[in-house]
Amino acid sequence: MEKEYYQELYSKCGDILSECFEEEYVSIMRKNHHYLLDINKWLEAIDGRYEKILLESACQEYQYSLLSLLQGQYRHSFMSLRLFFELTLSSIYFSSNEYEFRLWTRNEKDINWKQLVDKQKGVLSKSFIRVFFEDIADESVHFQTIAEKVYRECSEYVHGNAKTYELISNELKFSDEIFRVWHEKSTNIYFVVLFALCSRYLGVLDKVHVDKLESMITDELSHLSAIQAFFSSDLASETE
Amino acid sequence: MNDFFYRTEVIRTDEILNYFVETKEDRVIIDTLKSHNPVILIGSRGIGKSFLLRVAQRELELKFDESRILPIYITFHKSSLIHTNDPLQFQHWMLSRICSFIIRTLRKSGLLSIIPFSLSILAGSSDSKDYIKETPIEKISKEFENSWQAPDNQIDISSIPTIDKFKEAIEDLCQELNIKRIILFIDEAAHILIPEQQRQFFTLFRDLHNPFLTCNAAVYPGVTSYGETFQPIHDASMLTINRDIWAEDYISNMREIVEKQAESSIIKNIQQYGQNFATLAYAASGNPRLLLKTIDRAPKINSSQVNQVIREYYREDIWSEHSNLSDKYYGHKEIIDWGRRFIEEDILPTIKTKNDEYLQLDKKTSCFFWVHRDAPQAVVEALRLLSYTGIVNQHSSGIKGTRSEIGTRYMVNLGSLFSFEKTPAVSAFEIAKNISIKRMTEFGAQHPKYDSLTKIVPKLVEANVTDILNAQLVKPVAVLDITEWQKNKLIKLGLNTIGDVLRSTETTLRKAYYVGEKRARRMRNAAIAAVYEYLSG
Repeated sequence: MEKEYYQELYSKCGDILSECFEEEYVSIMRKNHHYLLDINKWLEAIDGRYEKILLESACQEYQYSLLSLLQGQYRHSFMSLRLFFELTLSSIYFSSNEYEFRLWTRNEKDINWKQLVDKQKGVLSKSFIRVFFEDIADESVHFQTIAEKVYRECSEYVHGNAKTYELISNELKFSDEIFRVWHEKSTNIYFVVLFALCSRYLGVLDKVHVDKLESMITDELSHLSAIQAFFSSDLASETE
Repeated sequence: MNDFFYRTEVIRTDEILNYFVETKEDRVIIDTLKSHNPVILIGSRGIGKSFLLRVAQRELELKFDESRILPIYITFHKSSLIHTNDPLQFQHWMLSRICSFIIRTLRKSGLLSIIPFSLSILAGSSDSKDYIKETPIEKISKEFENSWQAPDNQIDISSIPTIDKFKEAIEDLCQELNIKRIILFIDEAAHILIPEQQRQFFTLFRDLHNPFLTCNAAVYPGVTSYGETFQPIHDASMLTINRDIWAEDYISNMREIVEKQAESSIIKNIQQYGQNFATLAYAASGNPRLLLKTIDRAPKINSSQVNQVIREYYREDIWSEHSNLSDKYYGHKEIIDWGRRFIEEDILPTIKTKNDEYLQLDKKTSCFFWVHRDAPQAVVEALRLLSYTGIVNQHSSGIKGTRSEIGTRYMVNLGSLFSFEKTPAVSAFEIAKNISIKRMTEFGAQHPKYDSLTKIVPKLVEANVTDILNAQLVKPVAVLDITEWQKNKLIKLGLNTIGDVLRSTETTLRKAYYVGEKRARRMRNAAIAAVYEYLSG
């Protein structure tokens, strides 16, 4: 009996999934899935670094988030999306501190969001970014603001703030509005994540990997003069 | 869905500093507001007067234990609802409201563990039981505010103290409660189109000043009926809020103001379309509310949205507030309508044509015009009303024009100027960056453009407030300056007209699904504040 009950829910999830791939939404879905492929390219780029396992977990969490979204489990999709964000920034945070990373692997240190986005020492702070990619550091303040806001916005769905009840139905069914909200938040998170990864690694990666990442980065961040300069100097050295 | 705060009233005082983006000019104003000298703070709608008053209030509150200076914020935004037969109705109402707010602040601050005798003069009662509930003076204040519903009712004003008694009571109160000084921050102090209220206010303002009490007030640029005793500059420092839009940090300050309130998507879009944002910030001409409203309508900040919002908002919507004035205050209709025609048909096209030429020749651009000091009074009045809505700003007076004639330099709202561009997202930024103060279009003492106004000789009759009010109460909530989301919420709750909102309670608003107490209060505050503001001009 229980089996039938859950099979019924499962089939509803399947119906929702089908709706998500209808013509109206297919380009959004493609974009959402593409973010995952992009982050995978970063995994290749930082292969061999100890913090990679965190970025791997982050990717996995993003995949779960997307799956929950496709099945109409909206609150859970925001929960995983937020965790994806935390894990990505954590991988960058630990990349600069192996001691703390080892404490974390021994369960002697927790990941703390406030610490990740601390205005003085967090991974989006000017002082942190300056050390790895000085030219882009002046932009960090805006990304820091986006990070704080989008994290809080996801938390509203995770904690079930009153406003989110207006959007999320008690029934398992597709919602155009929430589907679009999720996409909006994932786009903003991806934007910050990409900036954070660029800030941390662009200066240290070898050319082969930089080349592979170039189009993904310029698609999103070419409005930043530091990014333009980085890739044009790259081009100049190639011509030489 | 982004739910911007268009008005300071919606932000709780203890949260105000979270939204504050300080500039050097702001700091000077705030420090002056906190000083001993009375200040009249002048600025158009949405420029940030209330916000600065609130910041000054909050900073003083946080330092109260040290400084023993007690800040009290009062708003007179209900002045349009006062309608009795009492010739000194505004003075009586304002004084009773000030007394009420002093009592309320003292009550909330916990300073009334022992009730000083002097308080009975302010409260209109020596019965200590009254302090727990509503004092007679608070009742009088409310009766005045409800007088629009029954203008013929007599209000018993015997409990209102005389000015001298009031001042004595303040002095005693300060000494008994170990308060060094009380600073009043009076918002919406003078109604733009009720000169009688303006006169009674400034007279009261001057009379109240004493070593234990400082009055500060925020007014619109068009407020000029000072009464017989008040002398501007001599009786108060007259400070005007003018954000220097060519200052190096102007764009980044405006951006920070938006970022404090906006959702992540908008901040991301601003980050991606920096120049489009700068265009909107210039268009707002230093007015945060105009900027928030245009961002609310163009949240993607891409070129097509920016082009559309500048063309629609600055060509149509910004004028609706101005034209509303002529609907409400019919006596001023000709002046108000002439002002609009003068700007839309003469000033803006002229400056636009000149700018097109200047830019082609790589020369500096303009957004200024100059009016001779001997221009007809009706013209000055029309410009005064235009500065209330911020379509025009008086930039500086005593400026020499051609042939050394003296006049006043005005700046037109940049958004209005940009709205004449085919694609503002492409051309407006260049215009804004190249503006020179030296370029201005001049209008002499007898310019033919004035003729259509001076021939009419408008009748400036002081309007019947009750008639105006009744006409406004039946207007739909669509006229209110709140977000679309808030309007839809009100309509869903069956609050279709201004009158419905004014008579509504928080309980009504809480009926909406999942709207909690805090949110209901915020929604009602936003709606009510918009109603008062709508009625105030």
